[in-house]
Amino acid sequence: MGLAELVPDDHVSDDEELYRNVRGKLADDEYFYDSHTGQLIITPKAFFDRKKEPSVDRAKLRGFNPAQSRIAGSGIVSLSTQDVRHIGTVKTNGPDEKTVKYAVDVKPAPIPSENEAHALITVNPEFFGSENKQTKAFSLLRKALATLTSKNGWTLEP
Amino acid sequence: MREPHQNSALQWSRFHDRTEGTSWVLVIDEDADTLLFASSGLIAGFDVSNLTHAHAPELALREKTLRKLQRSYAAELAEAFNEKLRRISQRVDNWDDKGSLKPNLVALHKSHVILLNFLHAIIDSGRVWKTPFVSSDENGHITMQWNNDNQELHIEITQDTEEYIKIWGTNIEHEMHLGVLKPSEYVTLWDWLN
Repeated sequence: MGLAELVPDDHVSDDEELYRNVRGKLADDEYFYDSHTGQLIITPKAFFDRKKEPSVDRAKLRGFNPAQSRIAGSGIVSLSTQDVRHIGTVKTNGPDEKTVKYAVDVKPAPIPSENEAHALITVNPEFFGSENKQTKAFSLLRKALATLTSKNGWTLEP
Repeated sequence: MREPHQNSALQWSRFHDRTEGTSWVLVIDEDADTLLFASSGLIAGFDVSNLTHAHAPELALREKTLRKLQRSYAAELAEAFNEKLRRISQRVDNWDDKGSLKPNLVALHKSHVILLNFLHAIIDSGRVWKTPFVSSDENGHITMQWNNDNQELHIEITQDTEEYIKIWGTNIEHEMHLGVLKPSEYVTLWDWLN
């Protein structure tokens, strides 16, 4: 891998892989195993974020080594940026009753001298309106992200 | 060669560890000669090896047996999610270190009643029940989730509302559907999931 690939840029390309930490304790309810099939199911709780912008790491800036992104006790799941963007839109009604659509995106959010690979899953324009409306819209986004990662399984087990 | 009971006990042990003993399943042995009813570490064996050797009739018979069994064991099936609801009820504010609220008591009580009614609607109609994954979210609402291949059914219970979300893909606009949960639609939702 060349040095250029480790330098963060201001755009996350569609073909980039993303890492997300999922807490390893079953009691945290961020994942479970289906009681009939044994399949790993990541839950929407794994993508909860107070600011409604779940954090991910850009794999290429972690040298494609998920262990570098792992927080102690957690597992790592992966998403492709393209899949995240294909989640599409989150609909909610604005004050004028018009339907507003949010495009889902992945934006670089490097933390200087701490985590240059850091990025955020965002919606554009930003959520607005009552807390209830915002929570509902974000809830659907989290379900979509959980469904995506469940398909891929663990990248790194807890 | 391992005895069927030993083999199934091993499967149960692994399953029990992974689910913290909160789920309830009927385990059908891989060797197709034992039907096991398993819950919270208790296993009872039913020998069905002499029922039939033809694949399709065997499956039909097993399903019939399973339906009959689950009607007999409705209380135990309910106990699987009641145990999780009890565990959830002990959560305090910030139980997850992410600022989540403790579960709302009204929502907890409603969840118990709704799940019980849902269970009885399904097994009374002759369909096979599957224990949901139950949790509470950041606002103290109760969430339930069933998965089946590429389909998911979510139920969210708050103090004031009961809603379901059907998911059959990841596109929010075209592959998710939200609705108000009504008892008259329990079986319809179940048929959609299965």
